[in-house]
Amino acid sequence: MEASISYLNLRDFSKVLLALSKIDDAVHWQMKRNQITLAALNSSKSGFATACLRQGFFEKYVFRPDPLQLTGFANETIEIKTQLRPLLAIFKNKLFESSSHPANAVAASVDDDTAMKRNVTVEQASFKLVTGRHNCNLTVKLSCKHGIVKTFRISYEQIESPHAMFDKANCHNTWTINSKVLRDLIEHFGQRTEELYLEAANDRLLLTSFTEEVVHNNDVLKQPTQTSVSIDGKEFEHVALTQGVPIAMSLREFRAAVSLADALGVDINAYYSTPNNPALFEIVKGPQQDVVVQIIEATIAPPDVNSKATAAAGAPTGTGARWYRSARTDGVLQQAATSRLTSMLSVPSPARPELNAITAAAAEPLAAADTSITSADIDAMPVEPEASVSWRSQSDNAAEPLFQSILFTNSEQQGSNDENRGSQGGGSISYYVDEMPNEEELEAFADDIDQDEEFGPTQRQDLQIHGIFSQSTQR
Amino acid sequence: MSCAGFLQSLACFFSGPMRFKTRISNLPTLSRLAQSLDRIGKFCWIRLMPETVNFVVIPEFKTTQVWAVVEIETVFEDYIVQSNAENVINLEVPTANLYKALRSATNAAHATLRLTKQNNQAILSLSTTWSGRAFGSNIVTHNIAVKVLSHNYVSLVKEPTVPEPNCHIFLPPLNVMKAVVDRYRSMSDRIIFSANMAGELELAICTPAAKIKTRWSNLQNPELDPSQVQDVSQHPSQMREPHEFVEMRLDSREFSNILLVSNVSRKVIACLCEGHALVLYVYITDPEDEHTAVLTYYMSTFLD
Repeated sequence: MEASISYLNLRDFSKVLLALSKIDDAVHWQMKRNQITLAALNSSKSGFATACLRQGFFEKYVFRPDPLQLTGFANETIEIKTQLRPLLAIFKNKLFESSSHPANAVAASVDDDTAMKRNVTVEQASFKLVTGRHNCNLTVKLSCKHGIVKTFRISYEQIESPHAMFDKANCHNTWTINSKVLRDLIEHFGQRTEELYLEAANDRLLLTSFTEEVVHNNDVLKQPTQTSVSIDGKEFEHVALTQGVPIAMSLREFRAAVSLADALGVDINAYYSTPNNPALFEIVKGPQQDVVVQIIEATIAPPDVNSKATAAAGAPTGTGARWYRSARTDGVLQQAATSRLTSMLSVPSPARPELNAITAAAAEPLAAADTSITSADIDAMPVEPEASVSWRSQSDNAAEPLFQSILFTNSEQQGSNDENRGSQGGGSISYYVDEMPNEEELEAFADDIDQDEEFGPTQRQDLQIHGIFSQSTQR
Repeated sequence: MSCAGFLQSLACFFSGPMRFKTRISNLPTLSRLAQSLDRIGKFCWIRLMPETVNFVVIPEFKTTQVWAVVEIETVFEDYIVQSNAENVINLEVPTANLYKALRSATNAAHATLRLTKQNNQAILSLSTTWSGRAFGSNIVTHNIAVKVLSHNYVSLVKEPTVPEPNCHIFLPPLNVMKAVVDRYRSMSDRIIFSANMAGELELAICTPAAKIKTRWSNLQNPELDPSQVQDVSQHPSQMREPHEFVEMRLDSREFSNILLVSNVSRKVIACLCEGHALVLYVYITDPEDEHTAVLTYYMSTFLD
């Protein structure tokens, strides 16, 4: 296998590697005829990231596999694993900062190409998998300015790549947002916090950073600040959420996903359903989807809220109100229903007809010792766009603007009321605020002690929130 | 905090409807104030009263304390405080969390601070509103765990009393002094701070390796207010020979930390009580402002 990346895409490549490094120290390479997929699975098997780089991403891509290296002959694939640290050291971010900024790359025309090249430190990076008898390594060559060529040889291990399977069809919570907006908002989270809760409430998405530290009474002040960010539904390009059931996940992987999306300059899509089912964050770049990064995280129910919420919720999809920000309804699901695999290891399964890209489907259960995290029995097609819900297919919504105004949404909701169960919560009370939210809205997020006579345990924060939900769903 | 203190603070939870809520009108000032408090110690006692707010930091094992009195109109508006104890609420707040929360709120459209409770834990909640791209509004809320202190507990803590100062002088701009003190800090643990009633100030270090002196002249000495002092002419500062210096030895690191308040300070008066303490009155408002806010730093001096 030989591949080379021109300076235009090197920055993106280094950012992808950086994001993968936050998941694990090692990266799996899966090389096929027209793409390379990088994958990383963390040690507790609670986070998994994959980056699929198609042929269009590379300046040159040649796949002439040595038959001894292939795994499976139906679809020729080479699967190896390398350490990430040497790669990160090679693709140091600062080499690419000024040179191949996405904005510059887009603006440059063919004539300006040479002009741009003058500013570039590294003109090209090439990869070659060397499989001699004596030395097997992945050779990386950076062709730099002034004719300097830096060559690095990284050892690899031939081992099967992990796969996670994710069923986008059964995710009734999805949203898409501009990554810069999201990144600016989660900068408010403190550095020490570890967990993230996602919750939908009143046409807003609430993200809360939380750390469950065992706090001794005397040291209650050492608890880190808990920060909540409430994002207005209008900020999203697309959002469809069920109120009432919050999910919790590790903040680290989420931050890595958002930073990567911001570095690539594209939107980030999220798919999740109920707690204990994994959540998917997807980042897509390029006109032919040349770069597709998916980060899957295990989720659990937040400890304070779980028993009451899930008991009250009843059906797994939650009985809270659903709310939308685009005209797309939930009916457009073309995902083929595939069986759920719960087996432990890399068992190659027969290739499904829709999947022409993936051979071995190894279900790695995202299980931990904690019984509240169940195994990841999820199906996925990490690469194929047509059958998934998230892609903005041009045919569906050609006339649909991305940003919705108040007028638009209210009429849409009235229209779609008939199809759905209708308990929107947005009908009578308008939560779309154009200026500073008023008193009532702020009250929704704080337990004003005015309401309890005694600072006693009767009025708890979580009960307050559910009280608001019952008002909105009971009409 | 001792165990007894904690129990007393718990007792305070059940004493009645306590309410604190305010909007922050001057976030930069409050944020820089929190930054300078963060440098002095880890926990701050905030005393919320109907007209003023006190910020007190008394770190353990340090020679410095700060007692700040801020009239609410300088940084807050729509300020409400209610409690059973004459509408005074005492909180113990971790300074680092407070500072980081305030700092993240810069450029927010609105910021509100309030006292709430979550899972039996008292929380100081800072809510800020940001206008988003698509005319939506995003709300960021920071919840800082705090302790509510009882009056029995805080009555044990008293502002230090110092004798009448031998000398008082208006300091030069603090950022200039800070640059000098930062250099000294890396060379010596002790700084010799001297001033006289003729408008001269000197900062010096004296180590086996080097002796360095920095002197400012033509500074002002404040006039004593006859309404505060019984007999001005008998005041120790007036009875001295004007050119005679009063010398004090201070810890250089702590002095450098104090000078970080330079980012909000307007006028600073230093009062030297020989052999005892240095008191700095740092005004963060101008004299012509309707409301005042002043931080008082007490630094014990060394005899060695």
